[in-house]
Amino acid sequence: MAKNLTTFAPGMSGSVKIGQNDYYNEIVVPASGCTNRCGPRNGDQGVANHVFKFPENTGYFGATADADPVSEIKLWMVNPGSGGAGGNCCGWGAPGSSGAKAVFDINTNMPDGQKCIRMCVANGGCCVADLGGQQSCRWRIMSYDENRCMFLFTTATCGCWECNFYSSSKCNEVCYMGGGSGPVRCWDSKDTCSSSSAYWCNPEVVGQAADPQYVNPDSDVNVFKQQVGYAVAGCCFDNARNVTQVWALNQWCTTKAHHMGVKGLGYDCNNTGQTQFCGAFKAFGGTNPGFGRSGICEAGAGGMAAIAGGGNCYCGSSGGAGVYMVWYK
Amino acid sequence: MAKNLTTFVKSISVGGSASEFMPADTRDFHIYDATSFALNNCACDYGNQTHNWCVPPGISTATFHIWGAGGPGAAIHACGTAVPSGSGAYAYKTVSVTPGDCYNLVVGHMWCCCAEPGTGATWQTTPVQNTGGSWNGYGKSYVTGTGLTNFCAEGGFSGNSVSCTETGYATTMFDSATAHYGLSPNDSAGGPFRACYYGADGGLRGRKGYLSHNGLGVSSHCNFRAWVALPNCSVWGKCGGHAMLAACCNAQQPHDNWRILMANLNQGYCAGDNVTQAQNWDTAGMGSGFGVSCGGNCHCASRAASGKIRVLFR
Repeated sequence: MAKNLTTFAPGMSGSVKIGQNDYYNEIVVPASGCTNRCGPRNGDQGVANHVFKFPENTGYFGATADADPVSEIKLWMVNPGSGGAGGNCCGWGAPGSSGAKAVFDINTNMPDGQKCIRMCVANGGCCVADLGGQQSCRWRIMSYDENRCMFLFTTATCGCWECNFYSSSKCNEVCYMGGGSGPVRCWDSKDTCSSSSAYWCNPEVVGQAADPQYVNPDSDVNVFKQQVGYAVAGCCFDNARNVTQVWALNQWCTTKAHHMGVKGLGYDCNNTGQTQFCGAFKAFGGTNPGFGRSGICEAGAGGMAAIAGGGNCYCGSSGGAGVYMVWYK
Repeated sequence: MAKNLTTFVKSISVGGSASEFMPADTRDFHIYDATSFALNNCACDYGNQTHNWCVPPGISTATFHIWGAGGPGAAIHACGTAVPSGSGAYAYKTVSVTPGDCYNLVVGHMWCCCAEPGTGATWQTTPVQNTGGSWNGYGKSYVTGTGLTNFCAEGGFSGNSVSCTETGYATTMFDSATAHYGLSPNDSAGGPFRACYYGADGGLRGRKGYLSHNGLGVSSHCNFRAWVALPNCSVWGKCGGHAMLAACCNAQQPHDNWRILMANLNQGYCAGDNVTQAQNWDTAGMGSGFGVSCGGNCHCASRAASGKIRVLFR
């Protein structure tokens, strides 16, 4: 594994070339972009199923079959992020939650005919013209015959909306993405969204997992929880452009939380979350709403909230696409 | 906690965890990244450069890493080119922190900085960074709060215009092998016009961009190479260096030049309109590109990169 780290500036080592020269690497962004694939609020489950068949031979040119059988397979997965908040009253919201992520080793010593895994890896999200955002799809790993669910992510919880968030009374107030009974992590007492009961999303009902033992992403070793997004209100009633939107990123820099803060980008009322999201992810050379936005740099990031001035409904953006990688050698 | 899911998906044992593949100097820290850019003309009008970071419960130490923005690109005369601006300084400092305390993060920005093209034909010898010029410290990144005193990293110094009418333009400047730094006729890489940092545990000063020729002779308007100062310890695991950007006659659109530079760096670029492209986190602190005009209109020079701040805490 190649690591090109500088010792001069701790924390600033740049990219780590994970697995370089050690593994074959396949990176897949299924149905990326703003497609409306499956989600918890529509019936399109199954469209984005993938199958990974174990490679039989990792040898170079001229190697005979099974001359160099695969000995190790790693599966890296980032679940899609949830949607940012939408709304129709004058206000703003918080980005959605990031998708959870996980790394597994795949057992290569399976009988012939069973050397594959199946994954439901739906991306995208449905913009719901409603208050609050859209929960993310839930990726899962299925057995070769799809008779058994071996792993299931929890959904990333959607962003919330708060009317009058950028008013003169909201100086430095922090709005987290979830409701009072949701997975809110309160770093301080300013969890204002919990008091806006009309404007937050209920967590998705959990009940689709084959084995609930594997549902909870409760490890910081190889299964990493979702991280909440939040917004910080500016002072002096400087409108929405003075609100800081803070995302959780999934860029494999840390086992802890990784957030990035972007101010309102100069926008005020009546912009969709998609406009905001695409603008913000130009931090990573992003493109436009229909063209993959920012590739794997946005993997699993929460969507961005819309900005509404009242009178019309504006949707939050969908979350960052999920990404999976397979390494093998 | 190990996950032994099935006979198909087994856990990664001790020593093989995902963290092994993460950068050793960040994997055990929480990270807060602060950006500074806008999607319209004037970031500073909207306070896009200001952030508050408050210490979460259970956190006792924070290290602030700050980069000043790249210097403002110089104007390009109706006939002439420009020396790329300098890169911003970089600095870091570690402090003990108390949960609930908040720090004010101000990220140097690269907008509001492009002066209208000048009409003079002399070297612009006065760097505007600290003298009340149009740049006026907007490129500076700094953090205030408990344990920090005058902790800041300056933005890069401005680029400078080079007019076709200048003495030596066709001979000593662009028909020789000498690099041209441009802040004064005898400027050099180690000259005085480099961004500084203060109040830090350590850091690096900004560096200069410069011009060189392409071996084609000055009669060729494709003769120019600009060497753009890369960010300090920000990207690609390196501290410093330059990236080369070439331009021919009338390649003077500032956003296009910046976009080309980003593409050359394999950082990708935005397909959107000109004012929104390539606000790239990895290039923060980078100096400006340049352009070449062969007559006609004056132009603003290429954009530079904004600054950034990263907080590592645990």
